[in-house]
Amino acid sequence: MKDDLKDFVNKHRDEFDHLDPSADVLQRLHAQLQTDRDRINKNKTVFQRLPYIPWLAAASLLVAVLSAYWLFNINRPTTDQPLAATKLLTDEHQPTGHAPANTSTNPIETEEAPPLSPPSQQAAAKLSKNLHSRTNAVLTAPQTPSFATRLRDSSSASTRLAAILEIEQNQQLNHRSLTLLAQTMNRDGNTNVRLAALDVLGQHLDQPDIVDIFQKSLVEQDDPLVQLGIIKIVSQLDDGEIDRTLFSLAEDPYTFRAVRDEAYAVLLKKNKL
Amino acid sequence: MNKQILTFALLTLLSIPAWAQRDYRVSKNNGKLIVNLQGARIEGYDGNEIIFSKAGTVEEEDERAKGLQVLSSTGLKDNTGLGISVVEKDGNIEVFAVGNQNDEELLRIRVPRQMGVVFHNDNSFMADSLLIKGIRGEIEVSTSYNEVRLEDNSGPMNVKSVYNGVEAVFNPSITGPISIVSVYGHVDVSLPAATKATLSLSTSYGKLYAAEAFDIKTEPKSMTEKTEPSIKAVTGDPAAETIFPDMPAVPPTPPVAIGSVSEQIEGSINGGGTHIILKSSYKNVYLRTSS
Repeated sequence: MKDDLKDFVNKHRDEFDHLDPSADVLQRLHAQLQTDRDRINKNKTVFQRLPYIPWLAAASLLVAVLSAYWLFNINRPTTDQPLAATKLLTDEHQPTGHAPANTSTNPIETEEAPPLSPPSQQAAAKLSKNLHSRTNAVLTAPQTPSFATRLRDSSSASTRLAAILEIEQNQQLNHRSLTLLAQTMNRDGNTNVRLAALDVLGQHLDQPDIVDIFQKSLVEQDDPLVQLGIIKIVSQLDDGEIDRTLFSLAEDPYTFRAVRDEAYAVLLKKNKL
Repeated sequence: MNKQILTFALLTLLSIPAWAQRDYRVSKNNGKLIVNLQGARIEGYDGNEIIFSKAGTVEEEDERAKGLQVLSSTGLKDNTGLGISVVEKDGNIEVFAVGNQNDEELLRIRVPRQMGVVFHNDNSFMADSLLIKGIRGEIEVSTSYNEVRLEDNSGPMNVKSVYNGVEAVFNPSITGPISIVSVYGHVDVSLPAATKATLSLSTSYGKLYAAEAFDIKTEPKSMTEKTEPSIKAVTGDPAAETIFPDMPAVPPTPPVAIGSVSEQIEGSINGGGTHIILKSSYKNVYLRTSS
C-alpha cells in the first residue's frame, strides 16, 4: 500500500533534521514551560515540595516519645529498687550461711515474720511519695504462688518438689508449714515428693510435734519407700509409742518386706524385742 | 540364578505385611502423655502428633475372634488396633493396655518433645523395659519392676523404681528439680562435667560413687549438728525438771546409729544450681560424667 506522507518524509528527511524553530517561537515555548512548572508546584503538597519533611516529623515524634518516657519515669523507682528492698528484708530473716534459692518471697516467712519497726518520718514521707508508683511496680511484677498453693498443685510433682526444696533451704519451719509437710509426706501422689517432705521434717527433730507426726505417719503411711525413710529417722528417737508402732509394722504380714526387716532391725538394736 | 533372585524377592515382598509397622496417631502437642503400660519406648521429636507404633510380627489372626471385640476387666476398649486404649482426659492423653500384652516388641511412642510424660506401672509383675528419650517437658515415672533408662531428657523429673535400677544420661541443659530413687535397684546418673548442681546422694546399704571430675563440695554438716535435735526431742522434758528440781539430771543418750549404716552426702558441684536427688536403699548410687 502506498503511503504518500511516508514517502514525503523520507524524501525530505535532511530538511526536517536541520530545521530550527525561530527565536520567537523558542521564547514562547520557554515561557509556556515556566508557566506549567509554576502551576504544577502550586498543586504539590508541602510533603511533595519538601521531601525531608516526613523524616523531620518522624524524628520529632521519636524525640517527643523519649522525652515523655523520661519525664514519666524520672520520679518513679526502677524495678530494681523494690526488688532490692524486698531482698534486704528477706535476707534479715534468712539463717546465716544459707542463701535463698531465688529472689521470690517465701510466704511462710512472710506470714510468720515479726512486724517491722515503724519507719522514720523522713522514710515515711519518701515512702508515701513513691507509694503509688511502687504499688504499680509490685502489681505488675510476676507473683510467685504461695508455698501452700504450690504444694497443692496436683498437675506437677516437680512444682511441689521445688516448693519443698525451697523450704529446706530456708531451714525455718512454723506450725503451719510443719502441718503442710506432714500432709504432703502422708498423702502426696508422688513418692519422690513425699520423700522430700520427709527429709525436711527429718532435719527438724527439735520441733515439739515432730515425734507425734512421725508416729502417726508410721500408722497411716501407705508408701513403703517413705515408711523405710521414716523408720530410719525414728531409729534415732527413744519413744515408746513409736516402738509399739514399729512392732505392729513388723508383725503385720501385709507390710512391705523391706519395711518389716528394717522395723525388726531397729527394734532388735534397741533391745525392744 | 535369576530364578533364585526372583524367588528371594517374592518371599521378601510377601513377608512385608507380616512385619509391617502399625501406627496410631493423635494430634496433640501440649499437656501430658500418661502411660499405664508394662513398658514402652517413648521418644521426643519435633512434631505435633503423638505416634504410637508397633513393629514386628503381626499376631496370628484368631479365626474364632472374627467380628468380636477384645474385652478388658478395666472396661477399656482397644481403639487403636495396637492392643491399647488411647483417650483424652483433662487435656492429657492417657494410654492403657487392653487385655494381656504378649508382644515381643516394645510399643514405640513418639511424642512432641515439649510435652510432659508420666509412666505408671506400680501394680503389675509384668514389666518390660522403659526408655524415655529426648523429652524437654516434665517426666514422672513410678514403677515396681521396670528397668528404667532415661536419655537426653532435660527434666524436671521424678523417678521411682522399687525392684530395678534406673539409669539416666543428661544433656547440658538440665532443668531441676531431679529426683531419682530406687529401693532394690541401683541409680546410675551421667551428667556433663560442667553441670551446676546441688546434690543429695544417699544409700542405706549400698555405696556412693562419683567421678573425680565433679569435685563435690560437701556442706559443713557435722554428725553432731544432725543428731543434736534428736537428743533434745528424746530428753527435753522441762516440766519434769521443774517438778523434781532435786533429781540428778539424766545424761543425754549418745547418738547411736541404729538400723542401717546409711551414707548421705549433701553437696554441690560447680557452685551449685539444679537440685538433683539420687537415692537407693539397698544398692549403689553412681554419679559419672557424660561424654
